[in-house]
Amino acid sequence: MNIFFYPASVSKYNKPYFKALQSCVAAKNIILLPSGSGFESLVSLSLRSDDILILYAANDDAFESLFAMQNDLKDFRILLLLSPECSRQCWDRAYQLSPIFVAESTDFTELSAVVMNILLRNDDELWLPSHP
Amino acid sequence: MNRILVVDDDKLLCKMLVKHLSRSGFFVESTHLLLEGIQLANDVDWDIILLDVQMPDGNGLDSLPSFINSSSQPEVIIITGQGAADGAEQAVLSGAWSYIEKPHVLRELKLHLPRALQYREEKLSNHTIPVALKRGGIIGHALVLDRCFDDLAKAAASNVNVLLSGETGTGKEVFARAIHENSRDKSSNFVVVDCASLPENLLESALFGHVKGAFTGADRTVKGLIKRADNGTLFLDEVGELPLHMQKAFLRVLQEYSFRPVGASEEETSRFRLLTATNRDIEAMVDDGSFRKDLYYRLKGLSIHLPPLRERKEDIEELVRFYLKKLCKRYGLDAKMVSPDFYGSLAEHDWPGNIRELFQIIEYVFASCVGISTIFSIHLPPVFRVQMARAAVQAETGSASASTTSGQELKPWNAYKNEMEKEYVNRLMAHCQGDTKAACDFSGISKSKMYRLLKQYG
Repeated sequence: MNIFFYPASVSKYNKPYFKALQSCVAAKNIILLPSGSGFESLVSLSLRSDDILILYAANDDAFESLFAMQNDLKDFRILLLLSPECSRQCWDRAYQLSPIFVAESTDFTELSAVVMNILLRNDDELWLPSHP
Repeated sequence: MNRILVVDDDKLLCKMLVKHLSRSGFFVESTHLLLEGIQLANDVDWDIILLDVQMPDGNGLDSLPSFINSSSQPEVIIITGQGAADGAEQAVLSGAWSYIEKPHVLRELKLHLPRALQYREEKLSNHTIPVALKRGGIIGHALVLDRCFDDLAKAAASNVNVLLSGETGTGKEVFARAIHENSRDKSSNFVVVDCASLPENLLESALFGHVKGAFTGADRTVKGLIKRADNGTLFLDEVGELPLHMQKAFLRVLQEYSFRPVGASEEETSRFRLLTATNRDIEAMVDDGSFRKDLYYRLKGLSIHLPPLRERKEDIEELVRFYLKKLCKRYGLDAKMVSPDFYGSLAEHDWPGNIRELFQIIEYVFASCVGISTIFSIHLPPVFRVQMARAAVQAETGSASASTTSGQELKPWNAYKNEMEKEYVNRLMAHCQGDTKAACDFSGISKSKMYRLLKQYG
């Protein structure tokens, strides 16, 4: 099982944010998907059903772009990070993406615990290479 | 198995009825309180309800409509005291199947019960269930799957709690979504809770919600998933992982439709349809005390067991076509052709990870065939091609080798043992896709011995 991080909108803050996330969720390497690229990037071909996909919406527009991908997101274990800039409506609609966990993007403590828990529980699952 | 609920404050009578009817092959449960009886009737499907009139918390006849109109619309047989003819007449006029007088309950039941069950069977066979079920993401037409569709139709037509069981990766969540999509509440929310993924300390807050300041870091009030499922469907995935103290808290929600968010002073209400799923043997968990019996009964109003993929291999081709089409759409690529030998290779595999494993393999193949229009078995991971080659050899030499095994030239013990060990190790590693840990788990061979065998034969 691999872990991916996908920031839904392009921003210069995404990379430092990713680094901070990577250092907190130290269980495993996290693969960064290009910001705002949806499933168009080559690296997104490495995604496998049931992989952990951490989504980050920096604002309402970014959340809407995630919402548009709703049908494809069901195949993954979604952990959703919402920026404090996201409106109440985003929080209210977030569960429609069937996330395992939703949290504010400023604190990785709980997110890290969830990731660890998933990895521990799935330790004995079949392993399949991401890259042919 | 027909299901009978006894609602009577006479504990001795209840005990006797449960014992007698259970011996006759019925599933029987009893309660001594009217309100609990109504609750059970709403939460679980019953065929027959035996209802006493004089209950400590109310009159059974007054509550008759609540039982008759509960989700499974059971037949109700009223139990009256001797000489209560007026009450009996009122019961029949209100829609009860019949009435029987104490103290000859068992004797009279022998007459009424078979007729009531026969009537119910005929009534149910004419019951209108959705004619055109929306299949959602459920793919395949194997016979074993058709049986699940019959259950899905029943689940969609009622509001009963459903427990979905099956191995990991068999599509329990997809089935749960399909039940919701075909139900009366399809326009309401479908809320998923993954009980296995959330650590215990976060599960409570996720389910019940919390108020601002309830704990360190709770800097805003968050609505829980139970509240979000109000008037809709709550799907508890991996319900067998629910910790015991959470089972108790959740049982209370099911009984009272109310709960208290973490740190809140006021109770909130939520009415939802409950679907649950597990890949664990919950009955065994009930037996060993790790799962509450009362909660289990409430969850399994209707049970649907999903078959593993190895029992429906005829669906593999359709599943592959469906998922390839989905991937092509997701990645904006043209449709791909699939060579028959590709399907042949997939059919040789046992699919311990079921549909999820199949989809992961398709994703793997898809990623290696981006610029290619036709997919062949050569694009599969090597282990699949090895399996296919072995199967082909076995098919060609099958009968011959079977007949020559006993006629083989007798070899010295060590030579024979080495040959057999080598064959076993090769087959084992192919089965476990080269994963040494999986091979140890499957075979029961210790790690150290496995490494020795691999060194010797691998």
